[in-house]
Amino acid sequence: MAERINFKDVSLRYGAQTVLEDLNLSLETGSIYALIGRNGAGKTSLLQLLASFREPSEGSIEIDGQRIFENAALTQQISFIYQVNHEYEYETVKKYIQGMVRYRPHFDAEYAAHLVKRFRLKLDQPVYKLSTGKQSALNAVIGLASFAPITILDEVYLGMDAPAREIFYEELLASQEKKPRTIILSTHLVSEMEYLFDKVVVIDEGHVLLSEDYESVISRGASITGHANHVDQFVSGMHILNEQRLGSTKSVMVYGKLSEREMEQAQIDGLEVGPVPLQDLFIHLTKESGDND
Amino acid sequence: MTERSMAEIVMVDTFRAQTVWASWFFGFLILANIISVYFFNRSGEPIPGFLAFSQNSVSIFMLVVGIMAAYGFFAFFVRTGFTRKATFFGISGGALLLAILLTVLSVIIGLVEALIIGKLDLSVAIEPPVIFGLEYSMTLQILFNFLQIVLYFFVGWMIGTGYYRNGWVVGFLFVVVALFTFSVNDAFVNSSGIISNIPWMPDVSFESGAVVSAVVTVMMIVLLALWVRLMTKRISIKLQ
Repeated sequence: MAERINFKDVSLRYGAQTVLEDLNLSLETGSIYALIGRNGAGKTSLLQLLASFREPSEGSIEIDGQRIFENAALTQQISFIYQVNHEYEYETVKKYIQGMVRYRPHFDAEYAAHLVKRFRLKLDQPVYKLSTGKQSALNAVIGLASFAPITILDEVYLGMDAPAREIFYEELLASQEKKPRTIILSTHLVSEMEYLFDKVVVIDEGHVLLSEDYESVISRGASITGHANHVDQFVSGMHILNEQRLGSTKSVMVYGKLSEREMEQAQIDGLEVGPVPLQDLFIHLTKESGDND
Repeated sequence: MTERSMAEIVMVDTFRAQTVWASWFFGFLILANIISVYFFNRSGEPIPGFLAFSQNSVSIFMLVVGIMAAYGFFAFFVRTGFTRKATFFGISGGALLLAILLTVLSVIIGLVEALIIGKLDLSVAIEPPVIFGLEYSMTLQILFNFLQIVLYFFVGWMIGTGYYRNGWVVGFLFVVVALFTFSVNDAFVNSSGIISNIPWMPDVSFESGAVVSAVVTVMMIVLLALWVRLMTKRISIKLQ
């Protein structure tokens, strides 16, 4: 398996519009990455570059020192799954998957058959006749069963109902345990999916805001819960992200790591200290970035 | 997977898909030919053989196949992890195979047609092909049929790629280039007796011989192929 994916000084321009600018990012292989960012941040553009759909306007993208673009040995290692419009796909589900067996060197047909059953797809149904949710499920089947060493899943859950999404998450973790690979999940459903992530990349306005382990990211904030007066006193002067109150109980999310002294004080005050959901941190980080501009 | 094996997969799979389309197309073409034989049989006029009859239609078919190669096959294979280089050579190889198949099929159907007409005594004669002033020049007819349909394929691919890459405004210029290509081709090939696909173009003929015409057509095919390769070498692939 490849060791590292490197984006070096990558810029991407569509005419006069700069989508990514001097982006530097290093991804260790073998982990599940969350790629999160606001609409128009540059997530899909970044993924298109990684999948060689486009060439960067400047800079390079390399895997273990080798450029990806038009590199036959590397392009086959990358699978980019996104919401494809299948309206002209007249083949049956069965034939469509058989095609992938032919085109994807690591494709596991048996696992694909298992996933087809789990997602309740009909093998003899033409792909264009599948509902939006079922087409998403088919895309998920292809992505999971491809076992490409670098598998990119760009909002494949769109259109899937909650039970189907649960199946997708279960199978994602199961397949990762069976055969680890680099999985990049581009998603807006941060709170629903955060338990899947090993590492987090936040992108905003064409730049990388952060790229860290999941645990490091969520430790950047804390949630403090307890009696409203004690909580108010404790968080006074801190950077507050969010507040919720129910009767005399209050829960406040703050940005910033708590010192040992603060942790001791919280214990004395009878306050419960917990992690901040990734979604709240993400909202704060991207809001703050926007304000600074 | 090596780049060579990628190209081979693309070649085989595009050829397979296009053969399915061609089988439908030939079905309709044979039907049209049968109707024309019956019609001509009524009037007693000699009929062009199937090879000559089908030449224009097959050329237009290949033009359409070429346009679809840009929008359908090329994007699909690159999205699936194939390099642009392998996809280009694969599609080109598939097109050549298809051109050979269509030419051979046309010859076989023509021979069957001649046999049937002879057996059934329909009182209709098949007009022998006259190419560059030479009678019974079946070999030349086959060669020129093949070259014409390959040319039309690459013209179609050039148009399709132009539109895909540049949008419809600039893409229209590629249609202008295509018309120029056809007119140059017809100017050389017209003296062969092959009817132009664009009858409203100026009737210019260079009265060239078979060899010169063939060389010119081959050169145009090579130039078009090189241009398509240049346009697709680093082309951005759309998500849809």
